[in-house]
Amino acid sequence: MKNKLLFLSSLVLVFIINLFAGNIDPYYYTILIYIGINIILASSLNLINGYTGQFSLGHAGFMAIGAYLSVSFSTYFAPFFIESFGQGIFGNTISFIILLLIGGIAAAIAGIIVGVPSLRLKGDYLAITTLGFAEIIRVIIQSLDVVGASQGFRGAYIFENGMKAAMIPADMSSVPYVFYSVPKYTNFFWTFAFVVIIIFFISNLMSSSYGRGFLAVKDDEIAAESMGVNTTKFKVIAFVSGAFFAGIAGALYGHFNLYINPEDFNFLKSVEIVVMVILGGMGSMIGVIIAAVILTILPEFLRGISEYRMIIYALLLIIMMLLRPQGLFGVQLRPGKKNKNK
Amino acid sequence: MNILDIKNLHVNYGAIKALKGIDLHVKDKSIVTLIGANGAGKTTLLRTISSLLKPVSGEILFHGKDITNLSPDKIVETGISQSPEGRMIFSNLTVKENLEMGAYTRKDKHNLKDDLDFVYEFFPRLKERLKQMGGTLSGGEQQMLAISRALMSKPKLLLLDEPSLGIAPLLVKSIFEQIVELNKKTGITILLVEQNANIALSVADYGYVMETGEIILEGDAKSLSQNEEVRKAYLGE
Ligand SMILES: Nc1ncnc2c1ncn2[C@@H]1O[C@H](COP(=O)(O)OP(=O)(O)OP(=O)(O)O)[C@@H](O)[C@H]1O
Ligand SMILES: [Mg+2]
Repeated sequence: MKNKLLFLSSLVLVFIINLFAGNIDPYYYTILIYIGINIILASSLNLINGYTGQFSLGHAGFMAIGAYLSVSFSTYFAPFFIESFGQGIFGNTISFIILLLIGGIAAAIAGIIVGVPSLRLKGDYLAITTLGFAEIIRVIIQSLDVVGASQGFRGAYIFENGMKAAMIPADMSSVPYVFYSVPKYTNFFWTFAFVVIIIFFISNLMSSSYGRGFLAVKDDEIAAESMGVNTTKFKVIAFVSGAFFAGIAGALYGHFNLYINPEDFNFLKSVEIVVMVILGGMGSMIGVIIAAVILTILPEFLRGISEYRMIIYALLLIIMMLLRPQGLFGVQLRPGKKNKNK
Repeated sequence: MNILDIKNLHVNYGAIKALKGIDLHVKDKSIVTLIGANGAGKTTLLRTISSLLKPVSGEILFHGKDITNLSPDKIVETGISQSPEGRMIFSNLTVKENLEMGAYTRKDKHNLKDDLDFVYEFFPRLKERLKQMGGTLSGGEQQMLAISRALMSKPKLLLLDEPSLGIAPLLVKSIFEQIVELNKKTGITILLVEQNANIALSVADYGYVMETGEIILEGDAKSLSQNEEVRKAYLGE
């Protein structure tokens, strides 16, 4: 199959580039990783907001769940991972795959819990519920001492008496401990491997009969339903897959930054992802990827005025609505319509 | 034998009572029309038959079997499909894909080509526009597509919600000719909702007149079109 070959060769390409990525200046390397993570976030939201025509406004919440869960596992269960798989390149790979999946699956489960009740209703309930959901997640994390609460999370202290904590409690200051910091697993390869995976996932999905279902739901939900399309099913599939990849993006972020804070996943982050999707053109894969790249790089040039980021986003959106309401690349791009006769 | 029997059907939108005890019967292989002014509840009735709305009480029987609580996809599978009001074409799908969506619930997808040929026979203009996006069709073509899309599920009962809406009179005439042709050739039963009572009564065998959620008049189409009240209220005389 041509598609599979292209997929595998893209992964190989990412792997080869990764061999040389060590030579990149650390500042640019960091930006590169954030570009990859933002592409995953924006593309996964595009599946929900762009292709299926729903409006989710809490993508940072799913990212937070992915980040916090996978990072907690990699630190609190560090001895288990080290004992089971070792710390060689092979063991680290297995550990990281497990940790990424933990982040993705946890976010997907949250997606089911939030999505199923609100997606059964027609209308704008989803925007409100997802917005509320993301804020609730952030507030919960802010009050959870096991993950450092509002101080943020760097790793786990595992005491000789078996106690585990994110910070050293006052009465334990004399007990010996080992500190497990977040392992730096995320690199160019993992980040862009998932960029490749999500691009192929969405292309395949959209060229399958599911893709047509998504577009039908977006175009006219009532008409789709009267054709016998189970619209709730399609909306849930798009929403939960989107949440899954946001969770993966969170896990990648956590294992790169090595420090996560509830404020990394606030309302602003959700808005940023929405802006990438709108700017790129809802439902346009290439447009959204380019918008993700631009909106990751742009703030680097605007460091001095970073307090005004929200204003700049708002202005960008207004200019966009006036000049190009369909987004930068908002022609309806429908990938891979060729391989129908298989 | 009736293909459709509706008994004492009540439907509400929250506190609004949209249907207040509808009784309606459709004979197999006939064309029955339902006419009435804006807001009478015609669309509500069709949506309830398709199970897009749930009734408060009452029964819907198809070939004598209770289908009131089936899900929308099961309704399509049993043999009822509808061309909705305002056409509701999938504008980002091509004409062909729109038609294929109509066959969404069908298990025998290998016969799809024959059925596409079947609808092209009635609406040859669609065949010339297979690759065109649904949203770029003219109003009349969209209506043809909506009817054809409904036909793709091979229904025994076809529900048409205002096929004349927003279409030039000449084209309306030709679309209605095809509807009659369809009924004659294939024996498909048609429940036709219309505000254009003139043309609806001219093609139908039987008719119902609806007002604010209730059936106020019924009879065979000829006698209805001669009825004083109907002539005043709906035929503009
Ligand atoms: N979603 C809704 N929520 C609340 N009320 C509704 C809704 N849809 C319809 N109604 C009300 O129900 C009544 C019947 O509406 P319906 O659309 O069935 O009328 P109709 O006979 O099809 O009219 P028209 O000829 O204009 O299409 C109207 O009073 C309408 O305002
Ligand atoms: Mg109506």
